[in-house]
Amino acid sequence: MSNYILQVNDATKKFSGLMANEGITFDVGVGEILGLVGPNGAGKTTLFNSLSGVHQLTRGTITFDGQDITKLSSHQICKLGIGRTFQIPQAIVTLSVEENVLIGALCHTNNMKVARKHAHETIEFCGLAALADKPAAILNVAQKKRLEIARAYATDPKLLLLDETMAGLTATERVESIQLIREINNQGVSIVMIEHNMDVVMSVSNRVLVLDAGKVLALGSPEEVTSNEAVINAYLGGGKKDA
Amino acid sequence: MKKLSYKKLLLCAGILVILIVLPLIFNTAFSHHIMTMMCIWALLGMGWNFIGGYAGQISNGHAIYYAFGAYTNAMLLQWFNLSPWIAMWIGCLLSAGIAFLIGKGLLRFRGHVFAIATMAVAECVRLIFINTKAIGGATGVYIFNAELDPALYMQFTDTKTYVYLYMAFVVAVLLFVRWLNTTKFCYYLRAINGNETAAESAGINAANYKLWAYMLSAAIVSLAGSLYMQFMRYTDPSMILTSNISMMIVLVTVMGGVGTVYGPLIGAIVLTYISEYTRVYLSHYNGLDMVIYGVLVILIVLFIPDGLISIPGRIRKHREHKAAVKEAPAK
Repeated sequence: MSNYILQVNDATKKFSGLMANEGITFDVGVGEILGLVGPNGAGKTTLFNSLSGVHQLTRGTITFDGQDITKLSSHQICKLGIGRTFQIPQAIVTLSVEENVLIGALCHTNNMKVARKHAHETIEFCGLAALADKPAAILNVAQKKRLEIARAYATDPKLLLLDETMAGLTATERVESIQLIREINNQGVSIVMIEHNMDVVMSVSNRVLVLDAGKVLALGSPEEVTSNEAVINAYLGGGKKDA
Repeated sequence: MKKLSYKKLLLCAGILVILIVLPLIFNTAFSHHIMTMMCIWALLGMGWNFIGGYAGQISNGHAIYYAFGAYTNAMLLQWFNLSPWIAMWIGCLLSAGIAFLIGKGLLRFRGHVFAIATMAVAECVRLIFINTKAIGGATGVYIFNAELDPALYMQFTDTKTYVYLYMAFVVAVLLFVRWLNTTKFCYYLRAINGNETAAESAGINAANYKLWAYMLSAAIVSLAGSLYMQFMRYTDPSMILTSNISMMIVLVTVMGGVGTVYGPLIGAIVLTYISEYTRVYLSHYNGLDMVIYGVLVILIVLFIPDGLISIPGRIRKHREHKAAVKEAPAK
């Protein structure tokens, strides 16, 4: 299907005795922002890990841009066009901010000049210009998360997997982060974002996928999902939201 | 092409003059021996630096490739009368090939497991060499032959020739390392070393890059082995394949500055100087040279963990900090 960037069919991941993901089926349209929500332990990051090749599915298929990527490794999947950030920011602390983004920019070129130019443009786009020559080790949480996004964006992805980008951010930082995500989306990048903050999810997502105990609980527009009784019982818990 | 500034040209000229004049000022066979060994250890360090420094996988078994470089020269001379000028490159290829096989098996391990596994493999190779009569077994190999053309067979009578020639090798490899340091290859290795998960998610095939770094390190260490053979003209497994040798290769780089361009060179100069002088002047106090050597290593690792090359930077930072504290109004 040419208007789906990602199609996940019956994604199941078992760790020894634990069924972390079971029978998950959904798709992501080209240019869509899909929110991925659910209680802690629902299997959201496990799903991301399967999508980005950190580990392989026990059962099921993942089709990206028309290609079966179920058995591919992370670097292969990145080269095909999926970028991702991690729940705990994985900055390469021995490098500077600019060098971190350069690593992403080198994904599709061997030419250092071209890569540096692209890294520079990405740093500007992501609002990191003031920090470019600083060592990544001295960044605070919000800056590290932004660096993660910049590095992933520098790989020229068609799909970006964002894992709890808002966690630990102040209200102002959240607003800035949402703006960056919107700008990236405006460039044509589809996004799947794991988020606990329902305000963010509601304001940014086109659709929302709710996971609970490894299974899909609901899939639909933010309004449909937040008024779904099963979702309210399992996750939204009588109106309780992140501040 | 970057334009060389006048300052840089002057610096290069200055260094060249020093290199030419040094063996003439210190004109004894012993001094030349030390200078030659400094060059060999510099090559060993620069080679190891690719896997241990840039890629961050501490290999404790690089004596394997040192030995293969040395023995390739010796055996190709003995069997085919082949000039070491050709044999050394065959040795490099052979070592890279062996590194490919060993690396494929061992690079899946990291940290301490990799360090011990490489140690174990090196020990196995040592035992194989001892028990292989075709290459001299425990008796080793001896290539000295006064009838051979000195230039063609790299067996010079004048020790100064070795110093100048090996200095040239060091300069050549140093320039190569300097260049490689600016390429995608080294950036990728640094990324893998810094955070392998992040590196993979950014499109880096970590397993492949580590393997190439390992093969490159083996080739350069092999080159050092070839040059060692030509200088000493004799070696045996107990001289070249011991865990001591493997560890000194590690130390040369770690002491100088792991993962840097000039670190291994500085480490080689300092360590060779210390170890050769303590060996000659203090070894009659049984083992004192090793004690001093060991203590120095401990001190450097404790107090200057980034290696000797980090000292100028640390002094500068200390001075900047002092100046900043002075300027800040007392509260």
